[in-house]
Amino acid sequence: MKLKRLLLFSGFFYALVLSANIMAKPQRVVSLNLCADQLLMELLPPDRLVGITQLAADSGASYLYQKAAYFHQHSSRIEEIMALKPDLIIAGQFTSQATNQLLESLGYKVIRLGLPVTVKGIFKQIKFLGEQLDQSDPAAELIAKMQRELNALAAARDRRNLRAVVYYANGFSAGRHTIVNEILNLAGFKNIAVELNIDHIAPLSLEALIASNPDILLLGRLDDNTDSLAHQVLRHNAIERYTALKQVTKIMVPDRYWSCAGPSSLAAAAYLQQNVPDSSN
Amino acid sequence: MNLQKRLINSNNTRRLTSYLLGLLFILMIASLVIGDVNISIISSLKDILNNKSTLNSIIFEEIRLPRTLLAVLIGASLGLSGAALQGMVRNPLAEPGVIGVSTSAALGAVIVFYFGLAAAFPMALPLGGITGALLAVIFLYLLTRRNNSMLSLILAGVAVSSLAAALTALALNLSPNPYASLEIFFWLMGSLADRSFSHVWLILLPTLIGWWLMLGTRRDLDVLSLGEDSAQSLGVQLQSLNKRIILGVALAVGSAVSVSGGIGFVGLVVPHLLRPYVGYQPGRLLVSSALGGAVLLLAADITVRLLPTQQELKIGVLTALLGAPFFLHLILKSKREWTS
Repeated sequence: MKLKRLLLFSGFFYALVLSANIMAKPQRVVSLNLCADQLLMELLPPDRLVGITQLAADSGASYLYQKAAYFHQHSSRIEEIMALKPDLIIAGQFTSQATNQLLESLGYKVIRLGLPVTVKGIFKQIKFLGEQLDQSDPAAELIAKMQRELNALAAARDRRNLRAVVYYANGFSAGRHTIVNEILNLAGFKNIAVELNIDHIAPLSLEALIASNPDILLLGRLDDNTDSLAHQVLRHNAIERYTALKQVTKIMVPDRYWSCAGPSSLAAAAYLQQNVPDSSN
Repeated sequence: MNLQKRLINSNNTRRLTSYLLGLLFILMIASLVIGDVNISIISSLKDILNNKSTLNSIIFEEIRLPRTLLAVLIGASLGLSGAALQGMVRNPLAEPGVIGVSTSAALGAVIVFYFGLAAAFPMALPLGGITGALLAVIFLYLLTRRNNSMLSLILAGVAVSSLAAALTALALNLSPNPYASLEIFFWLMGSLADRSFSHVWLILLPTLIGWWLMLGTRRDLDVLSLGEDSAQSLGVQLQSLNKRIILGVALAVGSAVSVSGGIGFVGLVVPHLLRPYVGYQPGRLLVSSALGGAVLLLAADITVRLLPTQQELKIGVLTALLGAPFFLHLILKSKREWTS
């Protein structure tokens, strides 16, 4: 009898400890943002990350598109998100604002992730997420892995001080305060958009692009199977003739490498290093 | 009209033509000189003549020259089509944009462009625009056949325009390319930014055929202004006149829209401004309107390049700002007809 009571009591105590532990440790996390998807897939197993965006499985936009197959993808509609019974929602600072606010007013906990523009900022964000998810160890591991990749990038850095420029669909380029700028610097290139005083992502005219005389031209995704006016500019005769004239290296960087700041950013820098020929003048 | 007056008129017309030609020439030079970066035109011309590729010559030859030529070709097509349509239906409000021909052409081009046809077969792009335009012109022609009032023309234009714009939006949203749905603005407002020589070559032939068809009706249009019965008694073949203009407008406007998007009001403003200078003769108006359209569009294109907007303003925004008040003015002026 005594034993039974003891057992009951200890079982009760155990359950109490467990539930306290569960309360601190979010068990059903839902992501509303492609970039949050990327980090959360690194830090959480599928049974705790119960929903990611459909974009996460798009090989064009998402770096971890293969891994995304192991996770449930939601349609980003609020009713479906509520049906997943999340205890923590991770959203982007600038995306789906209306949904975020509505979810908050319904009593859900929503964390908004900013867009870091430096590797330091990425590390800080990963550490913060690790604390929030009670996954500090995987976060530290991820950071250590990225640190090793950083060292490898520095070792392979191109010493020729090549001048590169990014040209996206619709004629946009990325200047100061962008993760793309950080990626170019990590790979060892000078970003022409910074020379031209471009902050953030801003339009760069085709004329200015040609006149800036880049050594390396990084073009946004254009080998799509369908056409759009936005991509037509990347195939403009002026660009074709310029690259032929100056023997310029033209690199198509798939959007998945730099649509988000995170582990993909280092992979982007490595991709650039691999695609630059060793002895261009 | 007596002989003396007629002579004065034809002198006036000739003077007008040379003024417009001069203006067009000056604007073309300006369009080649003005750009985002400063390049020396003389040294780039030298490089081009010596067949030497330099940064300057690439910017000049591949960016500015095709843009200037397209502004001239498309502006002339729009001005000429406006004047020809107005002569045909004898209604000063007929204009490719207002009556929905441009929007229909955009629909045809969008279907061809975003679903891969134009990539497989480049000529499909202008052909798509031409088909769209042709359907709209034929529809409006049949409509004015039965009931040629200003009210029915404008209302039918509104209906055709909104239907074509809605279908364009639908097609863009169904397109597999993620950027497509954002590009509706280009197709409805038009722009000449970053077009290349391949676009010039694409539209050159259909545009010239369209011009030839429309300009061939000059004499008949003058006679038609006396009324259909008098024209017929003077030997004008109405059927063939209408056919030429319908086909000409479809070719010129359809191919123009397929590379620049729908640029509105040029065909409305230009003939209206020039009409007094050609003695209100619709036939004479054709050449002047073509030149005037080229001048107006080139000036508008230079303006959008100079405006300090972060992204270049769509050229159709400017022509609409200019043209819409005009349109309203024309409607108010002919208020009497509304009540009839």
